[in-house]
Amino acid sequence: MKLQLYSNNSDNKKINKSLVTKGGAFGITLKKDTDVISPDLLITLPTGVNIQDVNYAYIDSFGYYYFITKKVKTLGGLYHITLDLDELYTFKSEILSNYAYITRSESNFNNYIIDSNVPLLSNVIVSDVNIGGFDKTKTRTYLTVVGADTDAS
Amino acid sequence: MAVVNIPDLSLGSCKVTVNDTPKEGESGRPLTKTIFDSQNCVKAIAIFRMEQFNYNTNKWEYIDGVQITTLTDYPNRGRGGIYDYNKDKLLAEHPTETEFKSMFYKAGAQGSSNTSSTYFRDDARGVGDRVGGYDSEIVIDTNVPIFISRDVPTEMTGLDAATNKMYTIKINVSADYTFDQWSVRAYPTGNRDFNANMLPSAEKPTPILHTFYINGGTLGGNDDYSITEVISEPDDSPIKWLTSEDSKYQVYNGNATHWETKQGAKTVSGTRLGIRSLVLSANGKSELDWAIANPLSINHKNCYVEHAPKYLEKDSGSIFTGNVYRIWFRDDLPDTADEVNNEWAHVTKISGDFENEVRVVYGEAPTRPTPDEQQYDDNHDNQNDNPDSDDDKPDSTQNKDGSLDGILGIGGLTKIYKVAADQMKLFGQALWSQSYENVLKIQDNPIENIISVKKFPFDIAGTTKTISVGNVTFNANGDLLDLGIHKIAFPEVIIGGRYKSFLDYDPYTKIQIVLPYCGTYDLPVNIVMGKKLIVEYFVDLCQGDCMAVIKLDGVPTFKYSGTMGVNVPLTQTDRVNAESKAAMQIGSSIVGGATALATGNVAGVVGSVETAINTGLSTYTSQHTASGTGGLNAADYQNIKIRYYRPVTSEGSNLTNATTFPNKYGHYIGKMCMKYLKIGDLSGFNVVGNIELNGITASNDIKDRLINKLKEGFFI
Repeated sequence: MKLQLYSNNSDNKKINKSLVTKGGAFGITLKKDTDVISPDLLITLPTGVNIQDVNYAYIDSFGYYYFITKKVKTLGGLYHITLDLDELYTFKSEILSNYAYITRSESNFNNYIIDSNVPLLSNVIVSDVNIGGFDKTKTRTYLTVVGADTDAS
Repeated sequence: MAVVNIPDLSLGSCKVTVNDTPKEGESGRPLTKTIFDSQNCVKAIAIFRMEQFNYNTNKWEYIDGVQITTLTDYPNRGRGGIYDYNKDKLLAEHPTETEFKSMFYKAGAQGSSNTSSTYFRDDARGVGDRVGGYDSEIVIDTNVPIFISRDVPTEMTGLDAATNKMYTIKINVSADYTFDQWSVRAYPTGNRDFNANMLPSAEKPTPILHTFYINGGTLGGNDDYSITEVISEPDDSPIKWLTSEDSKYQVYNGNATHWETKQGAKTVSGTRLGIRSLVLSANGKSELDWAIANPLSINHKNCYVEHAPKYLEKDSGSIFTGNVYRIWFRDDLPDTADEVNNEWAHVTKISGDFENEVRVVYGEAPTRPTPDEQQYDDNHDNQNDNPDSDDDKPDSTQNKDGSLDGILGIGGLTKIYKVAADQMKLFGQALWSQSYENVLKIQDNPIENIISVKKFPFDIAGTTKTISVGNVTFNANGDLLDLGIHKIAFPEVIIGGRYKSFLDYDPYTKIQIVLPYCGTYDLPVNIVMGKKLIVEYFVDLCQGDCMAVIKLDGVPTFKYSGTMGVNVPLTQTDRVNAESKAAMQIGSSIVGGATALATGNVAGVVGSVETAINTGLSTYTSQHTASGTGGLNAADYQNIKIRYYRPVTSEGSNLTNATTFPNKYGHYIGKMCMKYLKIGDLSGFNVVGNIELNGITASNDIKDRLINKLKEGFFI
C-alpha cells in the first residue's frame, strides 16, 4: 500500500482540483483496522517534504483521494494524519459523465424562474409612464335634443 | 410590408395577394374578433368566414350561416371556444361531445390526444371532403402569425392541361412576409366531379376557383388544377416561386412521416396530390394566439400531434372548410394533460424567426372581467346570455376590432350639437321664449325635449346648423354631429420589464393603469408584460359615460367604465346648485366654455419614458374606481399613466441600474436552472437536485456522501 502526498490549492468542493505532488509515493503498513472513508495513518514523511505543505493524499490500494484533515507530530518524530475521503475528485470522471437534475447553476440558468434567494429590499420603486390624456381647461358643450336632422346640409 | 402587384384574377391565371391586415368585406379575408368569456378572460375565439364562388356574378360571396358537418372526432377537453362569426357569438365555451360534433372542429390543442398541430390534406377520398371541395376557402388570419415548420415542404404541384406536364411551384416567403396572407387561386382544368348543389348553372365545364390561403407555407393543389402563372419573388425570399417541367410532384404518405417525390403519372385512384399543412408552435409557452384554417377531410387522418420525437396520426371527421379559428391556450388547467407543453398538448414546432412574435404569457391566466361584460352563450342555447348585449347581430357601425364609429346619436330620432358659449347663451335664452312653448311635447314638460347638456374635455368637428328641438328652430347655432359615441385613441406603449428576470412579473412587479374618469386599476402583470398597450376611450356624448378599452397587441383585453360628461343644468334652480361645482371642476361658467381641445390622439406627455414618481412610497397602493360623477372626475387627474411598482434588489436601487442578482451570485449561490443536464457540460458552481448515480463502484455510504456533496453544491 502506497501513499502519495499532495498540496491541494483548490476549493474542497471543486471537482477538477489542482494538485501539486509532494515527494514520491511511499509505502505504508496498516497496523490496525482502518476506515476506508476516514483512515488514520502513522507515517514518516518522505525526505524533503514539509508537513505544512501537504493537505491532500492518495492511497493506491483503495484508489481514493483524501483531504488531510488533521496532522499530529508524535514524540517519535512520526506524523499521525487523519484523512477524509474526497468523493468529488476520486470519482471525477464518473460524476462528469452522469446526468442529473440541476437545480442551480452558474453556467446554465433561466432568469425567469422565481428565485426566492435573491435579496430584495422591502420598498418598491414607483414609476409612471405617461400615455396622454385630457385637458380639462379646454372643453366643449354638447347638447342632445329630440328631433331628427331635417336640414338639407 | 410589401404588396405584390399582381394581375386581376381571371380565368386561367393565378393570383397572389399579399397584404398586412384583412379588411372587412375583402374577398377571402378572415374577419377577427375577440370576446370575453363569462369570467372575463380574453378569449381567443373562432374566426371564420366561408365563401362560395358564384358563377353568375363571378365573385366569391359569403355563405350565410354556419355549415355543419358530422364530426367523428372530439377533443377531450375544450379549451377556448368556438365562435360563430356570422352569428357574432360564442357557440360554446367548453362544448360537450354532442355540441362539438355539431360544430366546427378545430385541430390544434384539441382532440383526444390534444393535438396541437394541424395538417391539411388534399387527398381526401371524396370531392366534398377536400379542402376547397365546396368552393370555399381556407382562410388564415394574418393578424396572428402562422408559422410553418421547416420540415413541411413548401411545394405545390399542378398539371398543365395543355402540356400535361406537372408544375412544381415553391412558394417563397421571406421573413418580411411573416404576417402576410397569401392567396392563390388555381383554376382546375379538365372535368371535375363536384357537388351539383353548388353549381349555379348546369352548364359545364366551368373552371372552379380554388383559393388557397397560406402564410408562407405549403399550398395544396390537386391534379385537376393547372397553374398557369407564377409570381416571381425576390431572390432573397426564402420561398420562391418556381416552375418546373420535370414532371415531379410530391405526395405525403399515409403515415405522415415524410414527403415522397414521385415522377411520372400524377394520379392514383383516390389519391390527391398537393397537400397543405401547417404546424404551429408556442415553443412550450403557455399562450399562443394564432389562427388557422380548418382542415377538411372525411375519414382521413389529417391531424397530427407531435409526441416527441415524431408525429402521430390522428383521425378526424369531416370538417367544413373556410373556417379560421383563433385559440387561446390556457396553462392553468387542472389536468396537466390539457396544458400546453404537456407532451400531449404542446404546440412545439415554430420557426425561430417568428418566435418573438408569439405572444407569451407566463404564469396565471388572464384576469377575469366583471360579470356584466359577459358576451357568450353560457347555457349553449345559441342565445346570448347577456340581456343587455346586442351581440346577436353585429353592429353595422362596429368595427371588427371592437371600436365604434359613426353611429347616430340615439337611433336617428335625436341630434347632438356641439355648442359654443355664445350660442349656448342664445339657446338658453330661447328656452324661455314664447316659441319654445309651442314645441311638441314628448314628455309633460317641454324642457324634457332636451335630453342632455354636457361638457367634455375634447372637441369634435361637426356641421354648423341652427339648433332645432323637435319642431322648434332656435336662433342659435351649433355644430351638428354625426356620431353619439366618440372614440379617442392614445399612443401605443410597450409594457416593459426592467430586470429581464422573474422580478418583472407578479408578485414582484405590479402594474396599474391610471385612467382619467374611470379609475386606477391593476393590470395582470403576467399578461401585459411585453405587450403593446393601447388605450382607447369611447365616450357617450348623450349620457356622459365613458369606457376605456385597453388593447394588448391590438386585441381589446380590458374595459373600464366611468363618467366623463359634466352635466350642465338647464333650469335656474339647477344652475345655482351646480354652477359653482362646475366652475370649480372645469374652470368655466356653465354657458361659457374654454377653447376646445383637439380630439383624436393625445394630449399630454407622450412616449414610454418611465419616470420615478415617489421613491418614498414603500408599498403598492390599491386600485380604485373613479367617481360616478363626471364633475368630480373632471377635477381629478387627466393623464393616462402606466404605473409600475418594481422591486428593489440589493444591487439596483433605481431604474437605471436594475440588476436582479448580487455580484457573484451565480458563482456562490447559483442561479435557477431546473433542468436535466449532463454534469460535464456545466461549469462553475452547480447544485444537483437529484441524480441517478451510475458507473461508480463504491459502498453505499460513499455514494451517499457523494450525492450529499453534489446536492450541497460543487464547482466544476
